[in-house]
Amino acid sequence: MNSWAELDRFLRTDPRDTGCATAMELLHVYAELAAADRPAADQRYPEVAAHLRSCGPCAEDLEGLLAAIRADLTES
Amino acid sequence: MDNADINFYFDPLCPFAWMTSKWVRQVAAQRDYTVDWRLISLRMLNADVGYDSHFPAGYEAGRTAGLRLLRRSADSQRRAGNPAVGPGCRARILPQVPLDTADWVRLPDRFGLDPARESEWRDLAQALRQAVEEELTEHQRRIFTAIAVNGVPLDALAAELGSSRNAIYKTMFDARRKLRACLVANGYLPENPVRHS
Repeated sequence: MNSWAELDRFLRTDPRDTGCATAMELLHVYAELAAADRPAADQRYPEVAAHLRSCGPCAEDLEGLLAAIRADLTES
Repeated sequence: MDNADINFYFDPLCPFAWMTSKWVRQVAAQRDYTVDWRLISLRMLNADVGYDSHFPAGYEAGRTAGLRLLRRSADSQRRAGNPAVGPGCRARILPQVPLDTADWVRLPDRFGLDPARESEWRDLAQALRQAVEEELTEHQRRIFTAIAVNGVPLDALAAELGSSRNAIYKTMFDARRKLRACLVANGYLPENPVRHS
């Protein structure tokens, strides 16, 4: 791998990227689906998936949601 | 605050409470609920828990460091009142964000640029710096420099500027697109991702 791959990835933008506001509105739906089947969630909401690949804070929120969903599933 | 509709107990260090607090704020705005933001300490609540056996390495130190955030939250609440502690508090209590200086020396660290391979990325880094100066608007330059160069968390920057995560992200998105287009046009980056077998 070249030495600047990470910088290149950081600068790349995806035109499908929906932004934080829309992603946040859909995040709980996306998370429910992703907890069961992540590829299916990405396919159903490509604009959210594109955003989560680039936005650290929203990706962190998703991880928190997934952890909460999984904990719920474990307890029930 | 007496007789609030919702008493929200949280430790500013807890990401789950942080996330839930944002939903509470949305619900409160839509339903006209009042919220009393109440601080708790997970470190103290879990004082009897064996951190070594129940949590990943470093958790106890993190929770202990979180006590400092709690003190700053409590101070903020004391000075500005209840609304000062709630969604946004986690960002607000982060250290002051550097906005008017650019710490370009940290760029290699931020993006895993190996000093031993500097000859591979030196020109690219210089071209990026020049593109930041010449291609971006003043607002884009300020946001890009704070996040990409100085490593300021996006939420902390949004709080500092009285903006929103979405607005800051949108500015960053436009800046990234402009910078990459410039670097591609000048032959520093490939137009399409390089595939590695």
